[in-house]
Amino acid sequence: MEWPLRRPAVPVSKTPTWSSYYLAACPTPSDPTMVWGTDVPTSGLEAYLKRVNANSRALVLPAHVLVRAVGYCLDKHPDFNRRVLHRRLYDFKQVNILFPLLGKNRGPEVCLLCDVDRKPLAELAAEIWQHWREITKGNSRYQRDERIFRLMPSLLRGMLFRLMLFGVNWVYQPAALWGHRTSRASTMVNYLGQRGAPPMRTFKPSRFPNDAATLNVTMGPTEHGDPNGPAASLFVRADHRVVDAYQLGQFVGDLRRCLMDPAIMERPEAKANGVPEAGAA
Amino acid sequence: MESVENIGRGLLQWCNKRLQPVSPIAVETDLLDQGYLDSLFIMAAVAHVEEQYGIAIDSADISPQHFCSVRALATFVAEQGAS
Repeated sequence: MEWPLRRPAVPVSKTPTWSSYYLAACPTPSDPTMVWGTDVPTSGLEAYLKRVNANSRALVLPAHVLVRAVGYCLDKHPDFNRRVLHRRLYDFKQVNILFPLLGKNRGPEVCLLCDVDRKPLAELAAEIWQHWREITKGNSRYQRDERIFRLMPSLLRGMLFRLMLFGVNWVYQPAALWGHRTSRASTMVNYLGQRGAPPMRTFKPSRFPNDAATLNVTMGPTEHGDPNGPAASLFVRADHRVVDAYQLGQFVGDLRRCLMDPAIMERPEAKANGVPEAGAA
Repeated sequence: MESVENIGRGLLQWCNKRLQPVSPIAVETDLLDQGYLDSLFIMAAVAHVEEQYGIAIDSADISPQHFCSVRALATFVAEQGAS
């Protein structure tokens, strides 16, 4: 059994004014959402992947770099690694990320990646492939849980879901009891840049119907038609009860820089001083 | 046991049908460099290889060395004892 949150709650004096307003005013579940979309030049990412894959045991794809970059930025911006619980904000102890993986004939399954800020990219990629193999074989832990749920009559299932949501949104509890996956991470990362996907101009990610879902990061396909070089779209949804728009801008800016030049995540001075401006030595 | 050349021919045909590239892929084409490798393609390729050649691919086998080209994948499949 594990208690995923630090106590006590973030003091009201440290909660941004508008976040306090949303915390007080919005019923649960609700969606006081901000979405920030931008373009990311990907020539640096492509060159980095080529270099990394030349020496890596696990195949590293843009989706894996995206997960690693989000983990890195969550470590830099801990204000985003929080959740709402009973109209208060709580910090998560770890930087965990939810990541959907597509299984064969089973639809996407969301897996939990823990301590993403501390893992090297190759280790993270290997872990994601391992999750993916379990999901494609139909024997992941989540699929076993789901099979138990499906055995229940729909009325009982609905009641149990509502009870779980109440517990997840209103009661400080260990993650092992209810909703162990979605209540252990503040962030969902989704990579939708598969070959053949159309250019992404706008995207509003949905959210889980619980208050742990503070942040959602989605990256679209890379477009090669731009004379300035290849670029991909990036959309970040954040909960206004947790952060303000200027914070979201800083987060998106740092994430964009990490994706433009993923090598900066490996530099120790970047860890100490923050993400350098693009082009900085 | 099938030869690398036979497996390569079969995989090449499957890849060209699946990816529908502007110009056909060759056995030596760098799939990573050309941007053909994504999770959907890997998923389809693994499923195809497991079904077609009767081998099991572990998550540790999903490496750039095995998936960088059709020839590399064919060599890997042959090494695994494709039937």
